[in-house]
Amino acid sequence: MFDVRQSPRVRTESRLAWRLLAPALAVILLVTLFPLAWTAWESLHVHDLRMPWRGRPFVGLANYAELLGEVRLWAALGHTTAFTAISVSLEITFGLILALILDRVARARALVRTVVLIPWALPTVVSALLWRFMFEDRIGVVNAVLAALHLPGSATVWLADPIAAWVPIIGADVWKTTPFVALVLLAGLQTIDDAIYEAARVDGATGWERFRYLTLPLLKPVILVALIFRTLDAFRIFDLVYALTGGGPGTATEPVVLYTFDALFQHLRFGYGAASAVLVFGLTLGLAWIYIRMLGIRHRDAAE
Amino acid sequence: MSGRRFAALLGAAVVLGASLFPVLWTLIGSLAPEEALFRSPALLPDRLVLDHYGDVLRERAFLIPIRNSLVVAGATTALCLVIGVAAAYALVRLRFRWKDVILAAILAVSMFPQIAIVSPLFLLLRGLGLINSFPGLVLPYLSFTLPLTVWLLTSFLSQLPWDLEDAAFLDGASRWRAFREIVLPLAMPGVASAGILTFVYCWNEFLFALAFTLGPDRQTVPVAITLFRGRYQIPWGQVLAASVLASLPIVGLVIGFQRRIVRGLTAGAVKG
Amino acid sequence: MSAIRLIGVAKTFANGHQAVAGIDLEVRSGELLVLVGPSGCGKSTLLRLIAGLDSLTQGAVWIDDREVTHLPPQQRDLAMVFQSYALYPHMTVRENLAFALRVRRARAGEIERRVAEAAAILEIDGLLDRLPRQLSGGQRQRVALGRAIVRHPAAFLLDEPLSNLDASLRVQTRAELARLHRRLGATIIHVTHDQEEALTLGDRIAVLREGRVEQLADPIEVYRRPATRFVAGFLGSPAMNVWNGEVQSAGGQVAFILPGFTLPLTDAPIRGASVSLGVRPEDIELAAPGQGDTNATVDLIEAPGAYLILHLALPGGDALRASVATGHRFAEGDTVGVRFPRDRLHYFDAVTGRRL
Repeated sequence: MFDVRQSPRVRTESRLAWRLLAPALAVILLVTLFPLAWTAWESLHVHDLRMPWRGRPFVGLANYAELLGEVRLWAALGHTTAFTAISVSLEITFGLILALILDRVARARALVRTVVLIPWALPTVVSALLWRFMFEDRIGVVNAVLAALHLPGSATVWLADPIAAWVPIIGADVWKTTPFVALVLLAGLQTIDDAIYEAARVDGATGWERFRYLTLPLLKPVILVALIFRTLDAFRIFDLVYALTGGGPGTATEPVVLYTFDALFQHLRFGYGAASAVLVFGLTLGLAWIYIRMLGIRHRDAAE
Repeated sequence: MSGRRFAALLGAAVVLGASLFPVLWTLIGSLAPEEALFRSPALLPDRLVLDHYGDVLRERAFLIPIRNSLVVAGATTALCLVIGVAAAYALVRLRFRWKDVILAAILAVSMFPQIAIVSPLFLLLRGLGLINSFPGLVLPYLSFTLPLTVWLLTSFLSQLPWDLEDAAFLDGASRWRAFREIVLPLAMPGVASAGILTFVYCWNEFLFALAFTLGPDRQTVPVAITLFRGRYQIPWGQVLAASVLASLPIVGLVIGFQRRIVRGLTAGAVKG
Repeated sequence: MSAIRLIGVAKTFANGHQAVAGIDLEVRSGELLVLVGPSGCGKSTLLRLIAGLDSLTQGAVWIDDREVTHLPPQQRDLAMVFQSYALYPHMTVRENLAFALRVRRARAGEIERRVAEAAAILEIDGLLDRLPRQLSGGQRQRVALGRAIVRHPAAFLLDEPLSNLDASLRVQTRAELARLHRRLGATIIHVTHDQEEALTLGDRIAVLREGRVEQLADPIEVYRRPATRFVAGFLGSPAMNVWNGEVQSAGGQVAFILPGFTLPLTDAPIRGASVSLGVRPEDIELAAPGQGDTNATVDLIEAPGAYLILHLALPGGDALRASVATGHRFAEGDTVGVRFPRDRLHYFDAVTGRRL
């Protein structure tokens, strides 16, 4: 009697499966895994493309030491963290509100979904430029409206102020990504059985109570998924800031990926830049791991 | 009309306004005469002109970046779908060891930040002589589109009624024939969703395009727009006009395939 | 038409679940064999193993004198009707019927002829240009059958083909299936969980439980002489009454002893042991109080129409179901006499469940 794993048909299937997977695995290995390993290895060397005659000496963790002693890096990490926290909170909140609205507006839903997808679909740099245009100090519409309404701040040179410059950045990010969050949450809302709301109404629960005790708990897993995606994306912000402020004024709005990009392609310090990239990757991994643990805990709770 | 419904409609109107306002303002700006643009405070122009579009297309030869983006996004999407469908079919339908590990690994890889691999890719492309070329963008683009496509397609394919493939086998169809005539037609909506999303992500990609191209002959649309430089200040008229042109194909896709896009975005985010 | 033989067929899934545990079975050419059993008994798995859609862990499958154990489904010349019908949704009915023939490169004329023939037999001629989503459940089922018929296969495998139909349509379609079987003289393996379907349709019935065949025989045999307690309880509605008790002999007298009452027997296949005694509701005879083997109280009366089901309570608390013709007049709370015809009793081993 034979073991099913040795059955000739299962072996044929197995061979076919590997042949079908091979191109995908090869590509992923070549353009993702191998480069990642290379970056890690590179981070342990000095590799300055402006000075090729110096070769590529191994320096151990020297790059990391320099990195962690660099004030500008810590500033960049601070910017990134603050930006992520603020943006993602706003996106989840607005996204939830938008999802609730979309859930109710059955007839115009297709129209609203289409319109709301447009900010998501535009290239990030394009939306960055649009928001920059709106926040220009003399020709921008924001200052014009503030002046027309006699509100303070209509003379602000937004992009020249280290704090004010964040307003268009956060605004553009929230404007662009709230639709995605809303759509994910809406999909989650639509898996909730309407019947439980009716049961709650019969039991006498108000709208707010139904939201708080039914909708919110049932949406928690979906909110968590949206949180994971958005947090990881916000942490890696690059396009938006590059096109809107260039990291300025000075380096006041520089996120950590822009700092790394600068080190790599402005200063051409590939070894040092690699160390910074590894740092970004490590932090991203850490965040993802935390979230996945949280999701896992929820699944266990739900299963018990 | 009930108060709740009114609030919802009002909310929808606010949302529509907030979504569209920057876009409309841009559209108006792109059609405003130069002197109106640089007037302060910003007001609606009293007449509309097409000067900026003309400048963008002629002086800036903006059709070239558009062509570049079309080629790169199109080629990447096509490659992704072919490789991705094969991989997804194997993952969903065939029995073999380490299936779960591979799926988890592919999902993990899709979360890698681009910055972590941009420098070795640069060195690799330089070594292969592919800097500032079409393959030199398609190859790196696969790094973030392929894992996502495989994951999306796996999600879609696993929802197909596989009884149909069994029925085709019993009818005598080989695996390839059953795939061509039964599975693929049924999987088309999912494939289309994945394809559209991939195209959008490629079209909008910036970091790799910035790092791996050198000049206007191979730069893609996002890079070309960002690098518009006037002598003293940003040429807003041209930037806005180029932005509108850059966005037209994408907006067209959204309007035409809004349902497909939403399916793609929410696949796997909500577990049944 | 072909005969199908299963030799020691077993299937254990990757997660360790043993769905089929060593089955030997022979399906004769031209017979309609029903595989029946509760959910999870392995009947659908067995069907898929015969079709080749899943591979066996052990054993062999033969069709006539060909061993097909390692052949893929494409080469077994079997047609299957799935529970979901599995109609190709993007093809018309005609294209659905023609698909298998096209795959085998039949000539256009031949394809047309066979499609028309199958459509006529199943009376779906008018639906040939429709898409599956435009058809009712009953019509889809016919198309699924048509797809199988068109191929003139060695045998038909039907996986719960009637389960998705409305109750009334089910009875009607059942009769049509029986007629179809007689007309085609086909070898059919029919899987169902419905015991009534099994009894009415099958030339022979295989009762499955937890991956094993409990009994393989014609319907009358399975009904009148169930081989195990499980088979006895599974076939027949309302289900057979079964009680656990002792058969004792004392001074030449044999009796079945339950708490509450004792049933004297003329003979018993075993003595001095624990036994399960079974008697079908329709075999119980009712009489005036005191005139039967014992008295019982009427707890509940159900009247499905053609007959009455009386739920009775025996002294000692055991329950008894009796079914009688509608003419009788009973009321809840009545005391009646019940008589157990000694020749209609079934004895099963209390531990193994095997018939004694």
